[in-house]
Amino acid sequence: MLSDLANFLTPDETFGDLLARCHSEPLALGVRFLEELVPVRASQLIEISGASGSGKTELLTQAAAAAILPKVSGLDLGRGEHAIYLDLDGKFDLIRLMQVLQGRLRAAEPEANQQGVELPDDVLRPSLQRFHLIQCHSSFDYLAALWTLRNLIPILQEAEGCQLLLLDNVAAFYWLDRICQPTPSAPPGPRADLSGQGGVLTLQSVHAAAGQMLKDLMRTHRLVCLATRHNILTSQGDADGWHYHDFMPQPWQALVRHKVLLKSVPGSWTSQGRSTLFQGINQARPDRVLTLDIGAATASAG
Amino acid sequence: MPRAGQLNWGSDLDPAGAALLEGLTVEEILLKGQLDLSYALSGPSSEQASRRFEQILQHQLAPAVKNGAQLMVQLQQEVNILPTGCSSLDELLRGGLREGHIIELTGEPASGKSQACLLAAVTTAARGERVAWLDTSTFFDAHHAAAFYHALPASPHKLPLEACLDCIHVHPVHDVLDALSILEAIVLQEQEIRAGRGPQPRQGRVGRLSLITVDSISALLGPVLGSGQYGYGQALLSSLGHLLKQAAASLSVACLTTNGVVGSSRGGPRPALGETWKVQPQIRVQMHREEGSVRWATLLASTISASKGIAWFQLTSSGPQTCNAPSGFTFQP
Amino acid sequence: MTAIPRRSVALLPLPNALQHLLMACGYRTTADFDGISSPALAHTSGIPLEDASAVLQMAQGHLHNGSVQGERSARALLEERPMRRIITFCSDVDQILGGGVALGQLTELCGVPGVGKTQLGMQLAVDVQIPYAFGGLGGTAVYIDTEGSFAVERVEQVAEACMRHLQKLAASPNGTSQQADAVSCMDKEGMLANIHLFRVTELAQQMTLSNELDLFISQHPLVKLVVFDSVTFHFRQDSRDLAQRARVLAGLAQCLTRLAAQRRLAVVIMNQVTTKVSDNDSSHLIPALGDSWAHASATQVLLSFQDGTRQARIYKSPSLPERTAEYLITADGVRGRRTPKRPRPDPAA
Repeated sequence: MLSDLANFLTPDETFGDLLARCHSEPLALGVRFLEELVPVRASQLIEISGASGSGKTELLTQAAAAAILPKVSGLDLGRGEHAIYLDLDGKFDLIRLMQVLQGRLRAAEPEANQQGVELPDDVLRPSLQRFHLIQCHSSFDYLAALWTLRNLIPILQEAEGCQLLLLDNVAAFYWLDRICQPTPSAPPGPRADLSGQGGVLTLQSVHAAAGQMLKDLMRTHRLVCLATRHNILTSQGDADGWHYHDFMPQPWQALVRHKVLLKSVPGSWTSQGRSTLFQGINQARPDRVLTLDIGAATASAG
Repeated sequence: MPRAGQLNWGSDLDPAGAALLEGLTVEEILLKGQLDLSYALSGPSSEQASRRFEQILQHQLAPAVKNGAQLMVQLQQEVNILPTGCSSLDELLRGGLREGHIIELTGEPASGKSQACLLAAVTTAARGERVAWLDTSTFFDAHHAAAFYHALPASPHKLPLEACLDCIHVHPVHDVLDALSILEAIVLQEQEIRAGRGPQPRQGRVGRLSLITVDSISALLGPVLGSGQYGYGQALLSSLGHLLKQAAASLSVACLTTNGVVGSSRGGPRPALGETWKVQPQIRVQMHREEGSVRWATLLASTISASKGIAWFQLTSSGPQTCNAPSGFTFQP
Repeated sequence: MTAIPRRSVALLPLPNALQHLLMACGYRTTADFDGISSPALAHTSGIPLEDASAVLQMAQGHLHNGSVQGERSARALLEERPMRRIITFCSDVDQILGGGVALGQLTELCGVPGVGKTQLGMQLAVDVQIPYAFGGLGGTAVYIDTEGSFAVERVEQVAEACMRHLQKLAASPNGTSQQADAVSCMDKEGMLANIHLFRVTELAQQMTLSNELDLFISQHPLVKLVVFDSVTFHFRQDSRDLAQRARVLAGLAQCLTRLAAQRRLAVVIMNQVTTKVSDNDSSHLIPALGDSWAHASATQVLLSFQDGTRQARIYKSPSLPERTAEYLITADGVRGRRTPKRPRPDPAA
């Protein structure tokens, strides 16, 4: 009896062991703009919101490029891992990804020459093989895609590792899901049902299910998820200030760990008429404004 | 998607599990989640049923996972760039209208949007590729189209006038619900034709639908936006955008749409239809009126950065033709 | 391969309760109705058979027997007999309009008060009645008067002048016997009776009328012209909610366009003008009602005073070049500066 009590009272592990088991270093995303804004750790979801044209898809493309480029020691090129891109908006462009990959390679050349490191010859094709795109055109597609990721991610992690899940944009089907709300007078479905709404993909039910699946995926496989959210309710006044409208349903809100707000810099037109400067803040620290310049090869802080 | 029980589950499922699945729809299973499915189907076959469901999802119902190398091959072999017929516009668009994209032309009235669309349609049809034109305000003028045709450069692939005009199908549309229905019908018809079940056999790209034009989206959506039932107008707008995007992606066609502007009295004209529509097209071009028949266009948004800032063209009886910028012009965004 | 898009059941025009019931039974897009018969649908979802048939018809949409309902090829449109147009009796104005006011489209006349919009409207309401034998349409007109500017005595004058002109043509050496017969059947009362006048005193009436017009015209198939004089009047006073105004205007434009296209008639709308000050401090006139109205009509004609003369200019048109023409308001109606050419009858008519 007393020996059982003594066994019960002895500690299982020291705090050092606990830290060693649970602590995770911030993940080096390879996009300095994001790394300086938020301390990104595994199993966390970062929501990037902004109006149309504020650089959200661009940021995801940069993060993908930094993940799939091969790992060359001494250089800040890439991690040589897989990246999964869930495209709900149809805005992903392979040509842009290739431009970013080539930009990063060019930017790494002087460093490589200085250190005497050889860059591999054929970089593009193997990198692109580590990039996985899933185009979703409805909330049904989105849920089905998340379900199938449960099988895909372990396979990728066995291969070269996969830590990055990119989602663009989570509010894509917001309005269509919203009008699927059941009316108070609607008769109950033909049978009593599990989810309580008869399997109708409403705004609440979709994001509840998606949120659960994302949480499971992130926890089980220690993924980092970067999700963009298009500000559908901006008015003219928001162009100057940093306003954040909370319109996504509660299950999504509960999942978001960090919020980044983006906007394009007015008047940052080149002679060719295209804006290349974007500004971003971490919503928790709105005083610190960083600048992203996509004219340069890599994202820089300003 | 109706009854999950209608899917082919295989014969090893135990009767209780099969009975439970019989009553469920696929949406219900998706909403309930993976854990609850295994829990509900307790028994030796639950694991197997779970795996079977995942297989069905992956192969039949869920969107495909494509890796970057496959996408690159697809881009090189299947995706074409359709010239608009006006070289300065083509240069602005990096070659022309890309299949799989929605390209929006926005601008004040008489800034050349419909004319540019018509020239693109005639240029495409002259190669024998089909064009579907959704006409909301009866702007389509066949005589005008014929005049544009005659001004096209001669080439061995250029069809005679009647055959060319036969390739342009005009659909009068006055209602956004009609537009959704007509677009669905066009897409279904094209799928049948490509599967070989259609009326005529085809060779190469001749007879293949390549361009869908909607002139104009703002006329179609104006009446429903901001109406009493909050959000219904936005849902229609967003649904039209997604339908066009999915049509463009699945059939590899280009969608060209025109949009009006609002607020030209204060702060310069902005594209109409607001923030919800802004996110739908991949490429957005704004067109401006200059003196006389001179027009200029800039890129408002693009998935890749533009190669050249401004396209200058002149509206003539044979369509928009490239011209030089007038002297003393400065670009002020 | 990406699947082709199908419409969502949530967007079909069905009652809410029915929609929700169908979605709860698993019918999420129109693809889920493929290959199902009405009895099968009624059975699985528990809805009545008529409702099931209606739902299936809606789900089928515009695809029938492999072709899309309502489509026409550009070639068919080109080979269509060119429709006759409604002349204005001023040959210069007719020329810049491409022969006259076109059927199947909206034509907008914008101008300051007093420039002659109502005069042109009344002239067109008379000219639409020119018999077939003279190259006209032989139709009737609907005149919607919101400003109270329609004057019966003036229309009588214009109608009599028109008849005199036609009688002269019929009596001339080129006149045919059909023309003589047609003119002998015309009289002043008949011409006035052929103009259906609606007086509108407030905005709600104007909107109701626009919706009822289709029914009226189905009962009066000879109507070939609808004149809306003017569409601006009630809108300008009701400037409370600009967004609502934009939406209502867009709805009106869609309604009138549909009417013009489906009933193959000409819709002429009168609008006022406002002044636009451009960057270099020069001002010019533009049609009123702003951007939400701007894309409604196919052709916009700007009427203005220049050096004491009345000028008509094509402001916007998909196919007509930007030309200007001068016109006069005489005792006989709208006329050109020179003696107008006699309208030649179409020998193929």
